Amino acid sequence: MRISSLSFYNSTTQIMQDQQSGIGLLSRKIAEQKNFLSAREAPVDASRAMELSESLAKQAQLATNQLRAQDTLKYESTILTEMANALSSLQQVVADAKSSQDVTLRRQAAQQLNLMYTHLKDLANTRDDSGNYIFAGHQVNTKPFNHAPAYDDSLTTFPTDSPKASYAGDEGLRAMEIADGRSVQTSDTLQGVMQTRDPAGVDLLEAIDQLAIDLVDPNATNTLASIDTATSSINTAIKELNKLQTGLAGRQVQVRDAKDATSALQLIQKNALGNIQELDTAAAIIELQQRQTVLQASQQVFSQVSKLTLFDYI
Amino acid sequence: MGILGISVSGLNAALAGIRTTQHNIANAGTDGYHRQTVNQTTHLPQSLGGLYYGNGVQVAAVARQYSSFLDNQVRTYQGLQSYSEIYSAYSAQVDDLLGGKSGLNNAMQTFFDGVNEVANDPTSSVARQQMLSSGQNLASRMSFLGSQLNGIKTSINNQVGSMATEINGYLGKIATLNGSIATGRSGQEASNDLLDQREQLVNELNKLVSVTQIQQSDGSVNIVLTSGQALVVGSNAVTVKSVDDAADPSLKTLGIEQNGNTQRVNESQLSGGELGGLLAFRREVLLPSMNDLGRVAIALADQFNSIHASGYDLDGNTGQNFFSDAASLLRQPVANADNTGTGTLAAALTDSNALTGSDYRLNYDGTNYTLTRLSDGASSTAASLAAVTSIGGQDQGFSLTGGGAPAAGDSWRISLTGDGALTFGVEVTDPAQIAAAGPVATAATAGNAGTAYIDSGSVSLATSLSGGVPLPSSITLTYSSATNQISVSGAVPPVAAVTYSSGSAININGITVTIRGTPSDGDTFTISNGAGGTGDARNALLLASLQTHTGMSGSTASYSGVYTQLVGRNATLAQGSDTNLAAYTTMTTQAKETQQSLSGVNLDEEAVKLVEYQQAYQAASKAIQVASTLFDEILNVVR
Repeated sequence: MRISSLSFYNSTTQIMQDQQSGIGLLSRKIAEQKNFLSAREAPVDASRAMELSESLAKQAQLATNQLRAQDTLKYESTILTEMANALSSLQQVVADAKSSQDVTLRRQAAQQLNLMYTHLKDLANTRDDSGNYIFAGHQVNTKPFNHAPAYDDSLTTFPTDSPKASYAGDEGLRAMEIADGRSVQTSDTLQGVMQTRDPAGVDLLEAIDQLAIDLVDPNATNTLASIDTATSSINTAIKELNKLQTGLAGRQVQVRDAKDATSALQLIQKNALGNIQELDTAAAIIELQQRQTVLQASQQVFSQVSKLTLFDYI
Repeated sequence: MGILGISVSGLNAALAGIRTTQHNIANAGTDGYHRQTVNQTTHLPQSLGGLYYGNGVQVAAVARQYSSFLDNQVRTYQGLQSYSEIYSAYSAQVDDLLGGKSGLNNAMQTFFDGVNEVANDPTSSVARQQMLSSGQNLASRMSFLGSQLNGIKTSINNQVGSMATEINGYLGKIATLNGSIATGRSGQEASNDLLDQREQLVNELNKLVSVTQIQQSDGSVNIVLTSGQALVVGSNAVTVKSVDDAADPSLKTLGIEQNGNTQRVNESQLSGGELGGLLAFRREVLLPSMNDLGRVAIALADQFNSIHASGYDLDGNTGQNFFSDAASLLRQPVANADNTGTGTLAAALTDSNALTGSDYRLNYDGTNYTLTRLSDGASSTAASLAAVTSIGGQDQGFSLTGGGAPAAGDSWRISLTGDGALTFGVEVTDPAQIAAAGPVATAATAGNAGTAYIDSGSVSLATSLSGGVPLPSSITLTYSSATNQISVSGAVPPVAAVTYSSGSAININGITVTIRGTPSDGDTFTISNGAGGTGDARNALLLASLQTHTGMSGSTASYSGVYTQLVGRNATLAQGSDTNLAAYTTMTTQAKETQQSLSGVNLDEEAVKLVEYQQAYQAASKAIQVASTLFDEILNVVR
């Protein structure tokens, strides 16, 4: 076949350009360790990679939420345990008071009850590390339990009704998203523990306060009734607290399960993303060498053939 | 003719050969050049005494080595290559923009991370500030992408203009050459070089827009578009110019000026070449991308704002728009430039979940309106604008209202979401304005005899999105001891009484509350619009859950889902055009090689010819010398 002198130059240039752009692309892929540098190189894989990256980012966000939920629940659980301990000591104090008529012992018991009152109230007013009251519902900046006991060591007149306890929080519960579309409750209120009123119409703190007063009131006639009321209030509180603790433990298990699921999913998706995106370096380097060989060959062919012209000989 | 004359004819023929060879060598690199050869024939012989004596040589023609088949093949493939080249280049730009690091998904993820932080810790001013900043970042990324795509649209419009100028240049030159060639032809064969030049101009023109050339008997060619529309007839050329598209004046297309009128060329008739590729890219990649990106912006703004508006901020006010008002992001319908009536058309968003990425055309025939979804041609016809927006029983997510008096034959283009990303922004300026709390507040009525209490309640995302909150009126729950039931009043729609059990959830149209403890007969509880305290993050939790909510394309895709589909679709189109480009480039190269094997100049071949003609010249010179010697001999004899 005839060949025009121009097409020889054109086709050689084309081959060299193709190889050079191929080498350029490969070296960028090797540098970035990526199978494809733009979506158009592999549309299906690229879309899948986008979905996986997005899902991984979402999992990372959930993992953050889970850690937070875990810490929050653990903190609350510690406080509830402390509260359970306080309630069972309280039970003991009341039982001891019931069995003794000794004035000194009763005064000691009253003092202990008063300390317990403050302790329980302090626990119910616990704040987290951001300074938010954890048992105040949504009113996190408001101290939920802030009334004072009527009992005082130096009392001379003895009220027959402890002041009504008040609650400044609300019934709001907080929640955090721990799995896609699923959130877990991360706070409780102490309405049930602190404010369930017994048939006499008093709640836990009032019952303790009233008992402390009646134990030191020389004219008290209803001490035994107060002991019974206190006992029943404490028992109710313990029962309510148990409910909270059980619920809390259940939620801790939920968070732990979600955490396990998330890390398993993260691992699977990371692998899947790696398989799609990561470059097979060995194969890429072999291809690079092949292209370099072809490029060198065409350069050599060009330099030798372009020297061949009949005009040199005539 | 004498013996001297025969030799002179040989000399002349050799000179013609040398001259043509020199011309070939000189034009070895000229675009569109076809090599020329000298065709020699013998002169008419001379009859002498019954014998014929040869009478030397003459140059019959300087022929052009040309095959219309091979040249047409090159031209066709070159047109396809130009088409794919420009399509590929622009698609790559869009692919890099939307699919690369500048894409939307990272910004979207960072924003929702911020929303989650507020949901986790609504009192933290750091978390609120972060949500606001990442929202602003998302908005600026969105409008950046929108304005980049819009920039491409503008640059295509400009390019249509410069291509029109270029096309006019070619048309004018072709017409001029047609004139010269036809004039030349009346006396003699047309100049090979003029034919080459014209052929080359047609090739260049065909790289811009697909044309057909029709050979005329006078040697001129007529140039017509694939539709048959004539661009050059003989030595007359039309003028083309860039004009507004009739349906959408924001797009430029090609128009042909005739008798003072400009007639728009239908886009489907500009099928090949750079212009064809440019318009196809705009139609297949750019405009759908703008529509889909805008659709994500509008759905996000609409849905996020709607939930935000039912919540309460740190100051206890109901949430304002977090992002730009979705209505402000809509592109209003545009009337066709050829409308004769005075009718106006306005569109409003009704359901961002039902929006499609397609453009629509509304036609009016004097009685009925027909709305056609351009992506698939589905349509609906109705006498009222209110009824026409439902296609195949499917709401399209927008409503139309008209004004003025439309005339039969009028039409409008509805491209509702095309500009949605452009002005997408954040309206909240103060972190305290983030409405993390709410949307409902509950209370046990003061004076209840029982000890039961009600929790703060929660609202489902579906309820919040569908406008279930804010509540049209407060809801009252009343306990009856006789039936042990809680009756519900004030709920819209009404809800039946439920049996009371401490701690079990009561669902009122997607609002869930729980009552615990022992209520007394007649005790009441209320649910009203409002927030809990500063620690209330119920609304933030709803906002955060929008991230994975499938609230687009008829509840089939999330925001990032739609975006990922968009990137995937563009990538597939870009890949297809890359593949086409590679194929057409190879085909063009091969066709060129074949064409060049006939028409191209081979320098070695010319060198051989040069030697050949040189020797012929030398031989003819020698023959003259011989004739001259003979002549001298005779002169000497007679002297």
